[in-house]
Amino acid sequence: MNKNLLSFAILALAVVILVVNIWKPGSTESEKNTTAPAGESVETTEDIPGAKLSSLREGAEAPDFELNTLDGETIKLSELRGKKVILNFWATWCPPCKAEMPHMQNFYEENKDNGVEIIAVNLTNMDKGADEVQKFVGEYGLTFPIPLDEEGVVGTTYQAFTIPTSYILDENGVITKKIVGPMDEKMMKELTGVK
Amino acid sequence: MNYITFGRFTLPADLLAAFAAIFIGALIYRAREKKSIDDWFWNSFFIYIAIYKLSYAVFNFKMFLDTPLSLLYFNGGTAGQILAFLGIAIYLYWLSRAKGSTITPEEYIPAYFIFFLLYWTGLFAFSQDFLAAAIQAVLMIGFILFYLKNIKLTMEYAILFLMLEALILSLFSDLLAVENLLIFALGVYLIIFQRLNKEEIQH
Repeated sequence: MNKNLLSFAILALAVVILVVNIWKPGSTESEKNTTAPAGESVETTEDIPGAKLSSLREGAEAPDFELNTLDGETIKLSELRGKKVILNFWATWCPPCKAEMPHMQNFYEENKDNGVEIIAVNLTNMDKGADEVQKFVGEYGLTFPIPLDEEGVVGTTYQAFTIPTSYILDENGVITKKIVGPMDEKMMKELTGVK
Repeated sequence: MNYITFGRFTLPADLLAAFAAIFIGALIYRAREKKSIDDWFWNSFFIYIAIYKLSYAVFNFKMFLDTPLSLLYFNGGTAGQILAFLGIAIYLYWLSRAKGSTITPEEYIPAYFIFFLLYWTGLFAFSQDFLAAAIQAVLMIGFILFYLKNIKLTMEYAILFLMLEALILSLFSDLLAVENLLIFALGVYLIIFQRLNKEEIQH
C-alpha cells in the first residue's frame, strides 16, 4: 500500500476512534443508572422484556426462600428488599469457597452499613454437618448470616451446582448478575457498585 | 469477569483465552518460520502470569497466609497488571540489548499482534458476544494472512493494525479499561523500541 494512503487511513481511523469514544459516555451513564437508588431502578427492572418469565435469569426476580441460619434465626430473602444482596452458595469442603471467604468477610465489614447484605447459604445437605460449618465459620471469623440449606431445595432452585456460585440482587430483589467461581473484594465492589 | 464451566471445573475466561492464544500463536509462527518460536515468547507469558498472580500475595499478604490456595483463584488486580506489563517491557528490552543476543525487536511485534488478536477473539467468543468475536476474527485472520505472506510489517502497518484494534474495542468493549490500555501501551512501546533500535543500527 502507498505510504500516503496508509497515513491517511491511520488519521481517519484516529478520528473515528475519537468520535466513538466521545459518544460513549452516554452509554456508561445509562449503565450507572442500574446502581442508582431504589426509586429509579424500579422502572429499569420492569423495562427488561420477559424479566419475570424465567425465574433464574439476570433481570428476573430472585426466587424467595426462608431458611434457618447457623445462629438459629430465620431469614427470608424477600425481607431484605431495599438492600443489595450478595447471595452466595458454598460448602466447607470447597477450596475456592475457602479462598473467597476472607474477601467476603472484609467486604461485609466495610459495606454492611452501605446497604449491601451478604447471605452465604451453606449447602448443608452436601456438607459435613452443622458442627463442621460452625467450626469453619469460627475459623474464618465470619459475621454475615449463614442460612443452612438442609434439604438442598434452595441450592437446587438456584442451580448452585458448581460452587461457589453467587447472585447479585438489586434493591428490588432482582438478579443483576450470576457469578460462578470465587470473587475477591474488588469484584464484589464492582458488582454491587459501592465506592 | 466471565467464567467458563467444564463439568465441575470453573476457569476464568481470560486465562483460557490467553492459554489458547499462546499455543495457537506459537503454531502460526511455526507455519511461517518452519521452526519453533523462541523462548522469549513463552517467557514473557510466564513473567506476566507470575507477576500478576504473585502480586496478589504481596498486596493481600495476610489473606494469602490464611488461605494460600487463594492464589489459584485470585490475582493482583490492576496494580498487579501494571507491574506485569512493566515486567514484560523490561524483560524484552533487556533481552535484545544483552550481549551476543540474536533476538531483535522486530520479532516482537508480529508475535504481539498474533497473540493479542487471538486473545481478544477468544475473549469475545467466551463472553458470547458473537458479532464482536466475528469482527475481531476478521482482523485476526487479516493479520495472519499478512504475516504468512511475508509482507514487511512497517511502522505504518503496525500503527494501522493497532488503530483497527482500538476501533473494535471502542465499539464492543471498553478501550479505556486498564487492561486494554496496558496492552496498547505495550504495543506502542514495542513499535518505538523497534524504531529506535533500527536507527541505532543505521548510524
